[in-house]
Amino acid sequence: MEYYVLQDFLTFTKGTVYLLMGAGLVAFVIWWNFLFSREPENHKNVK
Amino acid sequence: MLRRTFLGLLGATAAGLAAGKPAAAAANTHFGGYPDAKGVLFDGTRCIGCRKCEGKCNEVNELKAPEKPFDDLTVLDEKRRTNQYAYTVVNKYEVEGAGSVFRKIQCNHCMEPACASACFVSAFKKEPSGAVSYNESVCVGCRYCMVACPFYVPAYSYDDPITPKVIKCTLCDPLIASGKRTIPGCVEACPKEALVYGKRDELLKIANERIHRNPDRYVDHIYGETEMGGTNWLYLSGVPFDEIGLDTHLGTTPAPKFTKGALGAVAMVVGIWPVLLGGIYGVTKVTRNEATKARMDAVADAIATTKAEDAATLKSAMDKAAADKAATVEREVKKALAEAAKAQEAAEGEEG
Amino acid sequence: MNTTEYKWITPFNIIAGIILAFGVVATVMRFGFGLSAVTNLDDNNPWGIWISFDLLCGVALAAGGYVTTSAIYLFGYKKYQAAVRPALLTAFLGYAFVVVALHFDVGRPWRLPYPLFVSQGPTSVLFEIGLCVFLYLTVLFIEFTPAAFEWLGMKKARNIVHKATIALTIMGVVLSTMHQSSLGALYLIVPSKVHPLWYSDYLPVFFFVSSTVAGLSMVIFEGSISHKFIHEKMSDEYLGIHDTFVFSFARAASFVLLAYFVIKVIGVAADNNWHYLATGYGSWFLVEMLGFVLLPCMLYGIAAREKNMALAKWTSLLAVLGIVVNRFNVSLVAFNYKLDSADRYFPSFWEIVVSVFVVTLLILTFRWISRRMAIFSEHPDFQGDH
Ligand code: SF4
Ligand code: SF4
Ligand code: SF4
Repeated sequence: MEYYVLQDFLTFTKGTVYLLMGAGLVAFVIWWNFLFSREPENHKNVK
Repeated sequence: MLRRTFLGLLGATAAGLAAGKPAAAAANTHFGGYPDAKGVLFDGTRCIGCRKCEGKCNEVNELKAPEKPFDDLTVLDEKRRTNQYAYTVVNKYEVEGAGSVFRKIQCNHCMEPACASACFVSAFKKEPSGAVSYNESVCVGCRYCMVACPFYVPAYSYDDPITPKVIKCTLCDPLIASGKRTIPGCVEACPKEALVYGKRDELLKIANERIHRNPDRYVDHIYGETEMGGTNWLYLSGVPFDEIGLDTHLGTTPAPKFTKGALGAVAMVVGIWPVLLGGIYGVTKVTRNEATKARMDAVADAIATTKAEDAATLKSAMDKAAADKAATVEREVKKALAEAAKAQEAAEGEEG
Repeated sequence: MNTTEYKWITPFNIIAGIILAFGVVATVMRFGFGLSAVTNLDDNNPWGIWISFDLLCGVALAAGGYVTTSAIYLFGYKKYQAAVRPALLTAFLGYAFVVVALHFDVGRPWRLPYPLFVSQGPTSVLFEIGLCVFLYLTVLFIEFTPAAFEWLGMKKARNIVHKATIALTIMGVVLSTMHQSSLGALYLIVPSKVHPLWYSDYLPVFFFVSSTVAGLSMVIFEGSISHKFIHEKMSDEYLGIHDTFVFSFARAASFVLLAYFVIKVIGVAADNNWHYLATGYGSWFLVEMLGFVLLPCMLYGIAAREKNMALAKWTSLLAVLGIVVNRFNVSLVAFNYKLDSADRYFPSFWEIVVSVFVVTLLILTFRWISRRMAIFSEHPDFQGDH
């Protein structure tokens, strides 16, 4: 796919970036849980 | 149809990847526009303000006939802009030393259209033919395209409650593509050949040649060659362009570049904020946990100390009692116990 | 309130009734006869006060949601827990009614889901805003559901949402940063139409930073109004923290306003726009900068130091007004500054009616909910469970 128009190129790249943003957010949540799941006491708020 | 959407582009790229072709040009590639893109050259030194182009445009696009007919030239006394019944208008400018000068305006079919960059449903598309097309079937009517267009071109049918739409010159692209016409209506109608239709590259050559041959007749600039990254509608003039209502301060930056940086920053926010905020949360939580722990230790200490003191007080009271009367003993012990209870209560209160 | 019979005929209700009646008329006109029947919009001025006020100001003033939740859950101000729900409710309703207002403004409101589900325009700043507002409205809704679940007695559902608090808060801040700044970025594409004093590459930063001021100020302002009218529904805990809470927020707002002032001046310097300050637009720019940025910055600071509650509250009103002035300046006063005055826009009576109508609906909904659910208090079954 070759692009002659910057606008089309950006439509493609920005669209891809949006998909990656979504994937990134999901990855953050999963990884956070992985990082802390061995230390349950850290998850509890001490009152 | 699918090509105009992002998902369509994604599919095409995936196909390209599978075929081992480079997926997309690098960010610093120069985008020169479609090689065969067509456009129109308007020559202000030839235009006589007859409004024939307006009339023909109205006819070929089957627009509503205006109140005043197209041969009524008094209309020119007023500065007009494009609207939902006129894809194009001709305005008259009184210029010192040059008399009445006329200038036609319509969509300039930008090489990097601001309207397309702004539209959140990708309703606009730069076509290989050179035209900037508009797809009514997805348009929400947010009118951001009208905000974004630096030339004040797109109009809107505000009086239509059910199917309002954005309205602008099509470069007669649908008519040409379907074979109904070979050149745009306005170009055909012009009696003075003030309009030339052709490939943009060639129009630039023609324009440069005219300037070269008649340097006294023309301002040495082709309006639209570089404005906003270039347009497919080009203008020649014998008087400074700002005197015929063309904004000469638009610069050469194509519109999509103005928002590119901000949209890029947004992606970085998504990438970095969660880590930053998660970190801040972690730090404050650790601090809070430590503070809580320290407080609990202090409370435990306080209770222990109080208890020891209680014992001491009790003992001294007993000692005293040995040398005193029995009644006094009882009273003193009671008092000490009450004090101890109070102190303990206070310590516990602090804890909660 | 529960014991005495509710009185319908109050000055507030009468005014609200009149506004609603006008609003219904405007709605019928708008959807029956098109935008031109009620608005002064034209081809040169496609955006009027429904964008300037309802969208730009509406979203900025609803920033209290992310400001409060992040202060309490992320930045460690746990002791102000009781302030979370009023802020969340205000934010949620704020966004919900922004979306309602947009239905009036766009030509074909039934197509509003198109940018998300039918045809995406990822190069558009407005696409980013639409996506974020949609997602953030969902986040706010989930964040708010515990109050509704408690009211409905659904303990399990409430506890599930409760567990996700931190994730939701971070998500909220991310989305808010994105769309608050993007509202400013909307105007980046038209350097030729916005007066140089208000146009800047930093527009998104300006909008984001000032949105936190708007959020902090709205929480103070809205708190003091609710204090007056929904007092009987407020728990001792809420009332107990209210004062120190207001001063903390006033201090924060004061500091952010100073930062905002500094970056605005940097903006002028970056484009070398000093000479415009001597023009008419320049005077108005100075009024905004001194009267609506520096002045509230000072007043907030004094109020927080001197523990002057009345001053803090009045300053919050001034700061909120300042945000409104700024958004109007960018989107109306500075926009199309090159056009002849005859071609400039001024809102029509009915446009104002619709804006007031939407705000009234918001207030009525807020009142309805806060009188029923545990907003300014803790639900008895969940006391102390944070
Ligand atoms: S002139 Fe305006 S409407 Fe036409 S392509 Fe350029 S930006 Fe779009
Ligand atoms: S009005 Fe229609 S074409 Fe214009 S930006 Fe909005 S959705 Fe796109
Ligand atoms: S190109 Fe076609 S649509 Fe455009 S102004 Fe000329 S006649 Fe009208």
